[in-house]
Amino acid sequence: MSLLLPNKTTTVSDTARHLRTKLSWQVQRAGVKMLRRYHAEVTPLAEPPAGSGLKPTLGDYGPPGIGYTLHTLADPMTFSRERFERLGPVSWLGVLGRQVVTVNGPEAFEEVLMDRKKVFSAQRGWEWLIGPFFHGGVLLRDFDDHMFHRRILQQAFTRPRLVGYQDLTTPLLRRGITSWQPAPDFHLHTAVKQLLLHQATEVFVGAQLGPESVALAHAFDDAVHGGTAMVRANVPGGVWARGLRGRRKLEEYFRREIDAKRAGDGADLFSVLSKATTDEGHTFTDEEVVQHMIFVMLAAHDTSTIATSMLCYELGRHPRWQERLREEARALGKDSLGYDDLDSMPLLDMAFKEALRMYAPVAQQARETIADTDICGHFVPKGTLVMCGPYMMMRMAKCWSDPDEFDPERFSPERREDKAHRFAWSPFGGGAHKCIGLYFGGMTVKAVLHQMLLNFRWSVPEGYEPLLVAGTGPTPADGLPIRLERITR
Amino acid sequence: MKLIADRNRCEGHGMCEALAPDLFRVDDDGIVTIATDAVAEADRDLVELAVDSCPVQALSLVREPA
Repeated sequence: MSLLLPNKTTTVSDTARHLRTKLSWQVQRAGVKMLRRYHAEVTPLAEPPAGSGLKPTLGDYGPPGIGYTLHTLADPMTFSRERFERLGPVSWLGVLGRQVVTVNGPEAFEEVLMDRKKVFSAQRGWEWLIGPFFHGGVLLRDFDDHMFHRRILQQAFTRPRLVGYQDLTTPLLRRGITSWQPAPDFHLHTAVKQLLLHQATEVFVGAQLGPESVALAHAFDDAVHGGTAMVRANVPGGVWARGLRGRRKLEEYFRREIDAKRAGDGADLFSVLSKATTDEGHTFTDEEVVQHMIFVMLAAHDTSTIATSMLCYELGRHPRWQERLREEARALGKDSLGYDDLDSMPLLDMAFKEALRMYAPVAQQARETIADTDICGHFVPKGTLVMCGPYMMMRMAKCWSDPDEFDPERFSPERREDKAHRFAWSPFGGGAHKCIGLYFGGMTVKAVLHQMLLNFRWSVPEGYEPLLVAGTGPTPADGLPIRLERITR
Repeated sequence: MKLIADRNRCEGHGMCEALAPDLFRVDDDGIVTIATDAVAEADRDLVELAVDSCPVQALSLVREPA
């Protein structure tokens, strides 16, 4: 099996996808313009219990039915800044037919994500958004059950395992990137997506590239997009229905292969997961291995693709930074970045952190309250969906100087703006659900950049801004064209 | 067994804290603090997993001198 699409199919389907995305984005913008005249009274989400001393959570549903769904999709940054200025760090609004509490700011993030009172359910929050496609994944589990699964899953993310994945990844990235053909409008996001699907095929699934690929790549893509459906029902031909079909195909594939994985000695994630055992002797059932595989692929793929693409975009706009990183890459004197080399690349690390700060690849964290509670003193009743958006939070002027500027130096030892608060920089979330693959993701992005810096120089036209649409995080919908030139070393 | 956290190596990735929040805490300075360096027998498997999960080898377990 392979998740990599043959070149030709990719080109055709990507052009169609780009057009479809652009069109739906324009419809969203037009919708927002039409709804702009709408003005609502701000009301409490619920009255705080008498004598509790809690403040109400203020907000409004927005236009009847649709609420602010289009606003949060079309231009989430401007919209959330306006809400924050008017309503503060904890407020509510209507999205996708529900009343949703949105929180902003590191203090509120810490309360929700560290969840010391154990009242914020990730399972209930995420189940509502992506449950049918990613049911049983580690983020769709809570409390003791979650911890039980995380401890088994963690066996696949120990340092020796990461080194093993790095060894599998390095040669395929080098081959893939050196074969890129320079062009004045090289679609970087498309190329990185394909490259990392190749990585998913070999490093996660432990399979070789082959002709079976197209259907499974689409199955995966469809499952990912299922959760973004506006019509959240199984309507034939709809995004939701395609997502369910994608999930089914992935399940069938993984179920079919699992016995061979258990019997083999592969270093790929699928092999490791199918055999993962804690010291107490706990293992995953077949069904659980399938659930975790599908979820881990979701969690790893689009996120690393966004981080790589947006970092390259900023380096295309900032040639001085690109050159500094290239000097650092050359100074290492190695064709490929090994696990132990990551420590020797401080500039690359700062630039990587800055890209995550500006373009959080997971733009929202979802939770649902399982009891009446409060966030920073604002009353939130049981059964409320709570959304924490690191994308917006990491652009707050409160913590960051010139938050919309690409400035990796803010992470330098002299400045360390991220130390303003332990949750000021939290692209990987925090608490029990903190991203288990954060280091693996960093390794991947840095390994891609290392190859790109040694083999190519790139730029984007003056004033070019990619069309960013809502995916797992801000996703360039135009393929992110860059001018790519090969360099001699 | 004694647990040692190397605060110079620690980069604050927080894998240990996610696994065992009662034993590890990443503070505002982005560096880990351990609740105690004496590992209870009941926590031993969990602490070993946290040690193996630190991507930068900032945690280690040493046998205490008899």
